[in-house]
Amino acid sequence: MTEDEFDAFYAAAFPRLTGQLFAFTGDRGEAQDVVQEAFVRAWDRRHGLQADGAPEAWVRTVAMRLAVSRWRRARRWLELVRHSAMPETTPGPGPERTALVAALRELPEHQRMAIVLHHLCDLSVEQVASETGAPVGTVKVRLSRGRAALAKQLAVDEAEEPAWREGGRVG
Amino acid sequence: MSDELATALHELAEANQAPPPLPAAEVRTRARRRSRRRRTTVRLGLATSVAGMLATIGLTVHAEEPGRDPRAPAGSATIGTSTSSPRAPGAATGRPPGTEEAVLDLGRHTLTFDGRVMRVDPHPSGTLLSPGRELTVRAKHEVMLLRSDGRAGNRRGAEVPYVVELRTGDRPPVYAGALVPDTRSLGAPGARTGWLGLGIDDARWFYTRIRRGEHVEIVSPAAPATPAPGPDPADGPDPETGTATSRPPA
Repeated sequence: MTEDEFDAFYAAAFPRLTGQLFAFTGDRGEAQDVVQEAFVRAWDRRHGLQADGAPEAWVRTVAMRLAVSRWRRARRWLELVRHSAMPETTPGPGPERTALVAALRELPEHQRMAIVLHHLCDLSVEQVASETGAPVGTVKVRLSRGRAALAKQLAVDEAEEPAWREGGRVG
Repeated sequence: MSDELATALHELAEANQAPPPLPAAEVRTRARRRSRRRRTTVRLGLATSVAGMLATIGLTVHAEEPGRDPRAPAGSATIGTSTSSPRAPGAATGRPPGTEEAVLDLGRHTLTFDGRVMRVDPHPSGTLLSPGRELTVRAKHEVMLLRSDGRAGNRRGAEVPYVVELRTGDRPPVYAGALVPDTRSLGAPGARTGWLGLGIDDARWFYTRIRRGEHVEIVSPAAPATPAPGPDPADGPDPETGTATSRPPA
């Protein structure tokens, strides 16, 4: 991958990846940071990425792992500061407070990642399993539970007009 | 797959797309800078590890061979190991006077000092140069008049430069000095005196570096019939008889 090719890839993929990472993190600044960092790391591996044929997937995976790592660090730090355990899920800070974002924030980390990869990034269940390192059955369970939790949250927040209704089928 | 959820997520993602905060060139620059830093760190780590290993090896070797002169080159390392006694390692400069620093190997005709191996033409007299004996530098003469005895037919003597006077206790001296053409006229320095002939450069170096009070250890027996391989024996005084007197340096 030449410099020009990398620049073109960066310009085209960065906004798209930032949007996907926003759905995952709930924070646009955080999404930009992790995507930026993933692209810096991608430059060193540009030849291998081109050979793999899926550079955007690689950058997205790295960015998501970075986001997870940052969440965990932040949670540990907050636990230390507050001297108390954090809630099970970690809502990321951000100006966007849409119902869907708020509901996504309530999801456990694994469920949120599965939902975003499968329903937003259009990865199959097998691909999600490959990316997350979890068995296919586990991914299916996570997707099902995640959708159920989202439906419940959105039903509570937007009882009159929910953003979507659970009724789809994984696969 | 839930189309509604997918649609909602796509809309959410599209609404929150953000342009790159940095140009691509800056991303590449950051990556290169980070790579350089990583390589530098690796090099520093390797250099530190190697230095540590060398220091450990050096300490281990010296701890295992306390009698070995740490400054002696590998080729001469075996010269003094068989009979030499343990001695404290010292630096080329700043070594305390009185420490044993030089090794005279009569069998090999070498004088090793401060890492330098010098060819020497030894003319032992009696037991003055016996293996195991230790000589002490008593005096240094920039020029010394060595006078032969009557039997050698030369009462004039010869001026020998860079002479180091070595003694063991109250025993007669052993002189280490340069073999110059003038010494051809010299018959012998004396029956009770030992003589170590050195090349002019070696003699000058030895005279300059050795200090009064330092020691020369004698190892291995002398090879009586072996001619000296270094300086031309014909240039040196005949060790049969003679007396030596010194005069102040010129």
